[in-house]
Amino acid sequence: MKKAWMPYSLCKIKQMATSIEVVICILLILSGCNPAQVKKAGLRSDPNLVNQNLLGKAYVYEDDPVNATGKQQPPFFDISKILNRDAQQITPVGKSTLTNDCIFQQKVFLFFETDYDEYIDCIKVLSSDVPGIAPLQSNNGNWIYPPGSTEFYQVQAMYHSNKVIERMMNSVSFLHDKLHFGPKSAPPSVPYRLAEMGTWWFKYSNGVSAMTQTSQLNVYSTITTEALRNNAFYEPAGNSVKLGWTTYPGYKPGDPFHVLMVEDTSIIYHEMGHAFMTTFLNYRNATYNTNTFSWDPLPYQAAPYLGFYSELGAIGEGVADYFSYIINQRPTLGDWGFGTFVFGRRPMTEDSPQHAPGISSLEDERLSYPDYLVYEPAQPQLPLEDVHSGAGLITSHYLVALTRELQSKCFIDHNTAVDYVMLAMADSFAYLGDMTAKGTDVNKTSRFLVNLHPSAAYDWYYSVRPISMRRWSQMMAKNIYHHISLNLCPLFSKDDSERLLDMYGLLLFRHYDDNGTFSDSPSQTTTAVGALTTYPRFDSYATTITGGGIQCPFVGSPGCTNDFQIFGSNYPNLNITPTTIQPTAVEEVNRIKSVIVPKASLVSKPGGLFSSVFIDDTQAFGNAISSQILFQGRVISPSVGLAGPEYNNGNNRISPGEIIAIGLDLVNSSNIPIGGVTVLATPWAHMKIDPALSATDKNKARPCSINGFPSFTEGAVECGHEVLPPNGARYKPNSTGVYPSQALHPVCLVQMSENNETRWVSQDRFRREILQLEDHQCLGFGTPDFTPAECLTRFMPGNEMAFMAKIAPGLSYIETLSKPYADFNASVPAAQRIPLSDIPGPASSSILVMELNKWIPPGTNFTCRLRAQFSNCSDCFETAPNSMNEFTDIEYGGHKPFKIFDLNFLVIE
Amino acid sequence: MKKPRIVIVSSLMVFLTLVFVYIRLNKESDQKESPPPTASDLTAKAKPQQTAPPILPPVLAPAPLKRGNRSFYGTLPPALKDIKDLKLVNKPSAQWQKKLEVNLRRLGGEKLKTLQVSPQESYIIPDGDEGRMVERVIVKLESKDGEYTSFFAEVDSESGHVIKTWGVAIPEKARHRH
Repeated sequence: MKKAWMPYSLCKIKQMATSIEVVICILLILSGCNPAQVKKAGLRSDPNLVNQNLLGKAYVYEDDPVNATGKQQPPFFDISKILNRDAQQITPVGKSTLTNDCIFQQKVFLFFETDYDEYIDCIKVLSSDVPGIAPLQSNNGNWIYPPGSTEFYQVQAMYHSNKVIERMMNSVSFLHDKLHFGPKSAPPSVPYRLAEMGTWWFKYSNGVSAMTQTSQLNVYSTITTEALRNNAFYEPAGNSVKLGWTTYPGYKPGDPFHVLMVEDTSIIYHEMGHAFMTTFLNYRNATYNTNTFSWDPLPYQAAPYLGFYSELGAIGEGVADYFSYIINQRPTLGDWGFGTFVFGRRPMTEDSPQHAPGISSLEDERLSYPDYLVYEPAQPQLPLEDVHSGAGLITSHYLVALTRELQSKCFIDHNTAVDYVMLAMADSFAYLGDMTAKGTDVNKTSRFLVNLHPSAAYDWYYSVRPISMRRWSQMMAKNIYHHISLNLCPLFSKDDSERLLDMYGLLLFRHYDDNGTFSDSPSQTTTAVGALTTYPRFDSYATTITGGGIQCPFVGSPGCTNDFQIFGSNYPNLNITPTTIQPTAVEEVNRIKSVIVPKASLVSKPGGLFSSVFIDDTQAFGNAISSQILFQGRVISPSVGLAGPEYNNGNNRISPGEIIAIGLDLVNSSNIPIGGVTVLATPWAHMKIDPALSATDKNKARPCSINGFPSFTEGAVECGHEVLPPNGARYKPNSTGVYPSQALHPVCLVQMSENNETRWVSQDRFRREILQLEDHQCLGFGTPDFTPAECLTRFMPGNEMAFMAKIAPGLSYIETLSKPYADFNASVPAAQRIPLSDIPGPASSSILVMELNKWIPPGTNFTCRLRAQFSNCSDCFETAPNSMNEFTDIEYGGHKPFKIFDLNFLVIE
Repeated sequence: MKKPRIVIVSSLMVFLTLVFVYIRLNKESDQKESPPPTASDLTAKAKPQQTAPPILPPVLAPAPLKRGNRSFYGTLPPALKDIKDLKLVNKPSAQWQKKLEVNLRRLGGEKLKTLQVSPQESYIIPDGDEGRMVERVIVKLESKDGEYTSFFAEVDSESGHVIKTWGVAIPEKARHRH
């Protein structure tokens, strides 16, 4: 033993040194626990002592390192330095696991002022989504854990998530009160019985639906999987918020995570914003069950995202960014989480130094629609089609500016201004997302106001008439006018609101569409078809009531000026006098930046539409596209045995049996950018039933002649309002073989020779008369979508619509996204050029997927009638230029709101 | 002197009215003075008594009918008065989930790493003048390169065919940045 021969003194010194090392080590460990804070609280002095002052509390980071210290911190900054020294309430006293309760209170009529709905454990925080992971237990009644530990981050996530919940519960109580009590000039869409319905949360009390399983919001604080790299999620299907991590140069699996999303409070607020926007959209989506005396959810809900680029998704990102501003009043997002290693932080005001030169809060230098639709601050000269950029930024900038304007004009504080904005926003979304189609509680009629009809609401919301920047800004303008300018704050005038919208290029409409035209009415005062049938328009808000204002929903309600319903059972629908009313018009002098252009500006390339089409029919692509689409939440079902990637021959033409991707590279022929282009290949009413034939005659459907195609000599007939289905029914036979007289038909017609004449006919007729194919030889046979009218070729259900963010003046869609990269590469040395593989190009949402039956004879000629629309279109939304008659939901089943593109192609071997 | 009964009753009514008005005024003034409570405030207190009289709710949409354990969402065809008379176009199959998973795996191809299908609810939807039995499921997918998503799907109870999807996960990861 070496120690044996050591002199005693030396041995003693060595022992002392060892003791000092141990002491230093302990001190170092304790310093990692932030002794200043924990000692102050006195917790560590006796771990078993229950400190009454700390029950339900913990020490957290109030802000991210960048904003807590006031300067951009290096990536490896010791974040524990920013721990707040004051303990914060995390949960109510007595919670043993990390959950919180939500309470929504609303006023009720009659004798009792308030009603409450409480949801115990409405939110739960776990460290990750690994199945079976144990929930965090309280620590002697408090939640104090060492900074940097997974326990600490769970507490951090709960504290900041709950901040949003408490703030929003106050806002929702406020907006419910202001929308339902006192005289109003427009009926609210937020339902009166919000507490009882349970739709204020993801909850349906006593509901029979499995939605109750997902009603608890789960927040996962530190998921460090690859899916969460540089990422965070709001997941409607799991009703969860997932917070990830940020990678850094040189990172290898197993390395520490230096930046976690949970450390950036703005990202937590943003994700909670997605969750609350989802509740707004679904406020009305429940039905009262008279058997169980409770509210049941509808089978499907309105979601704030379509899985790819769309203006709805961009609005959702902007709204979610705004939630961060609501809480911390700071107009930037992701300074730490997205700003340290990746270029993802986002400004919310034009004065931010993150913006490109030339952007400022001056009226004519704001982010505006459609100029900035592919603008990304991190690469201002290079376009990016992404929901977080462009339209998302325009949305957040507008909302922040609106809040500040309200503060200034109405002499109110930040929180009150936020309440006003929330009122306008919640009511807008409650209306637009209404799958019951009623639109408002006040609608006691059997007719509908939004999303056409309950049977068609899914189709109208998700594809035929999705929420666009135009539609959203129009609803916001309407609600700001009726509920703020005419009520809460007359100092913020209609002109103020319109001028602000115009600064952002969002004054894209001529009126507020606030006359409540029924969804199945024509937009024109009277639409006549021939000399026999007329279809009069009915505006539900047309009836004037003695005393003015609208009626509160219940007799004797406080603040009501009379006891009549504005429309409904007191007024038989067909006897309302007057039947129509002019909507509130936009002051045209306020439209300075918002420029709208005719739909004729959207054209194909010279040489016809087919020259604008890019086709990919390689086998690899056929396989890749299906998985790519699947990961966007869209499921296509190829007709196995009749079509599939195995038939793809890669010749860039259209051949039997193929599944191909079709992109329309449309061109903007105007000198103004076009924004929010939507191309629909969904079924629509472009065929008319020949009344001369019997109800079961399968040849009954004749194509409508639209813009001269097909001609009458080619078998077309004249069509009007009478072909539009009021319930969105599709053209398929019922159980007795009868086809509906008003229906949406598949988009593709086929050319047939008949008596030495060329005719355009339905695929059903062609397959029976020419090909003699049985049903089982038709595409889609055996599926719920099956109709023999798309026996030969069809756009795949699940991928029948395409979105394009912007088309620049004089350019095509692809040129808009690729030309700036080409110009950049041409202007820099070879080493600085952006490789082709790194150029984003169009999002996959711009692609339609088509399948072709293997039984199509080569040489068969098809024409598919696609419908296109864009948000800053001057004649896509009204019946005539300068008209006050906005197209109604039922008319979106036809051609009037759209530019029709007839895609003609020949199937070749 | 004995007071007439009507005077006593009237006095009592006036007294009760005054008490009621006093309580209401106090409530109103309380409401004006105090800011709206937060959820934490309210949780700390006892839950207020919910004494509001039941008010018949407006029917915002037709309440779902029932057939066996399945709700029927939608409107019955005009010719039918009873859900029992609704003809169904399909029959539930124990294989629907397996068929669904086969289709999803085929679509996901080599890219797909994990697939999870969680049934949520079985119900009936209108299909023309008939009904169709369907399932609502949650689909969760993970790819080999770390991509993840989830969504709701409405699926045919017999064939496993996907009719509708919605509620896809909202990622924060943007597309390419330079």
